[in-house]
Amino acid sequence: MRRSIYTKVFLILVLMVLMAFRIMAQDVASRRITVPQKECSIQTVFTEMKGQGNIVLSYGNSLPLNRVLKFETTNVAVSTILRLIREATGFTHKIQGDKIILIPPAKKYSVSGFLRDEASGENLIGANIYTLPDFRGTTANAYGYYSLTLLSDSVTLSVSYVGYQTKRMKFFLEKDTVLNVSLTSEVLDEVVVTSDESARDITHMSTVEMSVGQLEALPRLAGEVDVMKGLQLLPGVQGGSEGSSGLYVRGGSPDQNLILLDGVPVYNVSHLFGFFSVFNSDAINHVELIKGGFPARYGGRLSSVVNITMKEGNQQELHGEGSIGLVASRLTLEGPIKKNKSSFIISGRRTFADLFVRPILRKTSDGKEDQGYYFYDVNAKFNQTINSHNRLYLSAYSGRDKTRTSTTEELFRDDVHYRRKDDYDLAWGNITTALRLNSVLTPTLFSNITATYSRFKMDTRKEIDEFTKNSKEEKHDHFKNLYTSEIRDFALKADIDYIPSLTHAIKFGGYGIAHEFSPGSLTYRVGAADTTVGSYRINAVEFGAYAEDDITVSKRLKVNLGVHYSGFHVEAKKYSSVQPRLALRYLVSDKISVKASYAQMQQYIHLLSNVGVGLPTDLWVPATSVATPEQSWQGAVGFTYNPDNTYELIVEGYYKNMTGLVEYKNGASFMNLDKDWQTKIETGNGESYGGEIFLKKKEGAWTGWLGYTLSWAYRKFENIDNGRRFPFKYDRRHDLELAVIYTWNKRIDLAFTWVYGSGYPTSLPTASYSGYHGDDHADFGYHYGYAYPSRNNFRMRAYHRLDVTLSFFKQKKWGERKWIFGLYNAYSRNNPFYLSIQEDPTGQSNSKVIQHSLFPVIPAISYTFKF
Amino acid sequence: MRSASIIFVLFVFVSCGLQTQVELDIPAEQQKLVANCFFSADSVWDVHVWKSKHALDAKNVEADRVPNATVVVKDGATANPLSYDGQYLTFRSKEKATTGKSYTLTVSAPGYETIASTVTIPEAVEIVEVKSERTLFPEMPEYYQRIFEIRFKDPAHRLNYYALSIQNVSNNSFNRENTPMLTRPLNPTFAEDYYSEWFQHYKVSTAEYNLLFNDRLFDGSDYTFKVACFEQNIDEATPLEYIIILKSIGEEYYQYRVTYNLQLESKDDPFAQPVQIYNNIQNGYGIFAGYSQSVVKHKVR
Repeated sequence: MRRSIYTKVFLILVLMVLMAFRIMAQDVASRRITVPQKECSIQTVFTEMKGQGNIVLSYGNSLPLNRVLKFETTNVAVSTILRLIREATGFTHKIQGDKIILIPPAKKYSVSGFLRDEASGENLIGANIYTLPDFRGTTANAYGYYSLTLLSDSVTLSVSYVGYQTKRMKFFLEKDTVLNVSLTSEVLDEVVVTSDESARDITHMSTVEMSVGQLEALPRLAGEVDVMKGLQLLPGVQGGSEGSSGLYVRGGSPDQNLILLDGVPVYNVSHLFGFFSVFNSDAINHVELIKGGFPARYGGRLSSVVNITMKEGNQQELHGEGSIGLVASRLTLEGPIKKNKSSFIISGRRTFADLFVRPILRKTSDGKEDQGYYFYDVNAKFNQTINSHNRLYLSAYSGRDKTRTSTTEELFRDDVHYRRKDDYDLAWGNITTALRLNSVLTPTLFSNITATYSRFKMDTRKEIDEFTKNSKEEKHDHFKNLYTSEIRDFALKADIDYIPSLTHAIKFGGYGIAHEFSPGSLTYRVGAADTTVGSYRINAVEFGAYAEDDITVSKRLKVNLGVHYSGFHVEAKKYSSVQPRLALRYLVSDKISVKASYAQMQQYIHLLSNVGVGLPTDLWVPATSVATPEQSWQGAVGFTYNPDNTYELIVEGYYKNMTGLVEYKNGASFMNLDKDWQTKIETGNGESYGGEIFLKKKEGAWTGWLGYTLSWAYRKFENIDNGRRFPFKYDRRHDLELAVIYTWNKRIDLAFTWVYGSGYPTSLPTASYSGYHGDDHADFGYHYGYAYPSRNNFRMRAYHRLDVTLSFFKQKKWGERKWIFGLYNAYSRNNPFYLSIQEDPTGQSNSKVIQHSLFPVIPAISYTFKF
Repeated sequence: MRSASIIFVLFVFVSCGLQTQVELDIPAEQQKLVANCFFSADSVWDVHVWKSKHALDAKNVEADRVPNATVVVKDGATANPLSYDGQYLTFRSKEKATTGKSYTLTVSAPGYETIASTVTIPEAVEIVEVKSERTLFPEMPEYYQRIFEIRFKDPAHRLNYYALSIQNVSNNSFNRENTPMLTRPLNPTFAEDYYSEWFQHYKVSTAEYNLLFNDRLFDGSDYTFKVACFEQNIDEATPLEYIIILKSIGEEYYQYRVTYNLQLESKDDPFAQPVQIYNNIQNGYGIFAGYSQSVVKHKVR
């Protein structure tokens, strides 16, 4: 009992002492000090506090005593003084009785490193790394690098990437720290739709990323996985004519797409006259499409950026995959050269039909006929980690299409022996290479220096060899006709990422490109003499610089401000442009963000296209005084809604204005070689506007998306249609895409896509009249000419198509095999490809409009394997 | 190998094109007058007058003629009315045109808007020399061709347009007498795109009856134009003579013929943009153009 009383007394005394301290502390803070004037240095204020308030002050040397504090009156409370000191210097305080201890602000240190796949060592582009519990962070750049600057404290970091197990790390940050994080892939039974962070969070809009797994799961034409056809399934993107691999983004033309393979522009992305693209999905790691609100680091094209990143090669062990399909077969090998130091990937694809069709043709024609077509492409990449700060990459792509026809005729008559051999070739292809050095200069400074080469070349060859022999003489004649078109780029560029704090992510850099244009020349040889006509080689230099800052203004508001400068020198002409870029994101709530963007773009090269479907005969030409640079500006607004991690809704509206567009004059084509190409073109303007809805389901057994676009696209050329505005060839009012991927179980996947598009415009005549044949024709007959009131004055029927794919997986001892069965145009809809007028040859009946369709239902089967 | 061949054939088979006849409502535009006249200083006016029709209407030339039209050609203040010739189905005059003068054609008819056009006849460019030789025809070695070298002096510092044709004086299985023969330029840059399909059945890829070209490649020079045409395998004793006609034409006729032929050529091309036929008739359709010509007889034997 007594002991209990003592204890109580002791506790009461302790409590009283504590209360006394508290009262004293309060007393110190509330004391008032008279300062000599309203603006005094900290040193002066401290002198007064010691003198008048009898306050003991404790602080370190880092406190800037000469910093001036501003007061509203000369009689101020100590608490006010301490607040002003904190605001001016960052020093906080602690009160112990009459003693005030000033505590210096915590130091900031960086955490930086690479985010990679645990098994393969591949970069996880766009993976998230953020602090907990306040969710402040960043994403890995195109090389998997990230940098965070945080206060020295206990830090909990979370690293996440869709399809990977999230990793959390807790540590005390007391110095600049390199933290390379490898994530383990989840054993997924389903395909994930996106690999990026939530669209709600990022500042930029109009950007879509696609994973390779998703591309491979989608139905495909003739069994060939196709990046470009995958992108065509997104809102705001048209595919052009049936089966084409073209991209018409927000009313733009195919030449307005900057298509980058490992940072190198690819000029012609078509195999087989546009039915397949040149990108082999086995070699691809990441695909990104930017339709608007372009970051300042991109320039040179008006309408889109397609950024395709190749895999780097497995760092850990040798792997391979391949497939055998109806059109082409593929094989890919990747693995370490020195584990965790260097790796390679090499991937090849080739069609094989010619390998067995040509021998049959040769045999059945006694060697007099030979025809064939093939395409191939090879991707290769090598990377070497030089040290912890530097890594070297060498990547290359080479692809080629070639069609060949050869016929031989032989005649024996009387004493004459005559032999003639005709050869015709058409070949085209790209070569790209990139040598890249990634360097971590400081934990917050990452550089990427790249030297690139890109070439697209098309050539057609017609060769005739004639031999005539009779009793009097022997004659040998040779005629050769070679038409070539080529563009070559040599480029050097530097890109720097600087991340000084959590509120700023700065990117800046510069580039120079030496272009070499040879836009079509014809060399013909009759006998021994060569004659070359057509356009000559044109050299041009393009250069530029950019800077952008992704600024976190507040928790809700993020702004990306940037500027891109570019210049172009060609044949004593100089062009330049300053292009401002702006993107805003405002978080309305945890689930909704609203966005806006504005971007100006300038393009110094044009594509002259007769048909607009990406044929190899299209000519790349530079901007000149006749064909001035193309310019555009685009404004967009939108919002994103993320109710949870599974669903995402993106709604955007845009307006784009384009000037300096080029088009062939009516009837002109690439083969009229007596005239320079500049005399065969018209220049004009264009505009497009519309709205897009993109609803995604990102996780679960059922994944996929629904896209809808309502759009208008027009062109206006002074000498076409009397200068009136007319609908763009691929103006489509309504466009809807549904893509669904269902993972039945671990062994079966089902995927289908359904697309609907209102009819493309086409030109049909409204009147016909008798034309004048004069004395040109032997029969003096009359033909009717047609009068077109305007270009693209009619709409074709609506387009819709269902594609289905069923995949069967099986694990084998050596790896995994997959059988893929597919149907393209499953219900065999006769979709319009083009319209023509069929006349009655007798002239007695009226003409008819005929719709031509290209593909009915096309079954496909392919076999793929991975080991 | 065999199964792969079958799969390939199947793939090609199912990929064959399909076609569907569709009903499209093409609105009719108001009918317009059509005037076609290609005249020279040596000939009388000869104007064909038609009316236009709906694009899908049956093509019947005779039903489209407008014989009750009023056709006048003005030379400055002088108006020459043309009368309808029921035999030749054209509007004709007795007067002849003069090189270098401007002429205005007006055509009116009840129920139609009056149409008009003005042109000038270009100066003739004389043929200086013609040479020829016979060789085997490359695409059809069982036949012969004759290569003509036609020399003329192109007037400098202006864009000149020409139409070249060759006629065979004798009648034979290839050529009717005094009608243009199929000819082809040896320099392929003078071959127009529309040549190819028209004469495919002759296996001649770049031939035309009337070669149209301009002087961009030889402005102001003494130029030798080389062309080839069929020649029947006749014996050396048979007389052989050709007529070479070099017409100096205006840009309007050149544009009209090129666009007219291109429209014919491209109407079945699914990718081609429609070609509007060049038209120098105000409020209507057609062509009103003049030419001068140099004619040389070339006797082979």
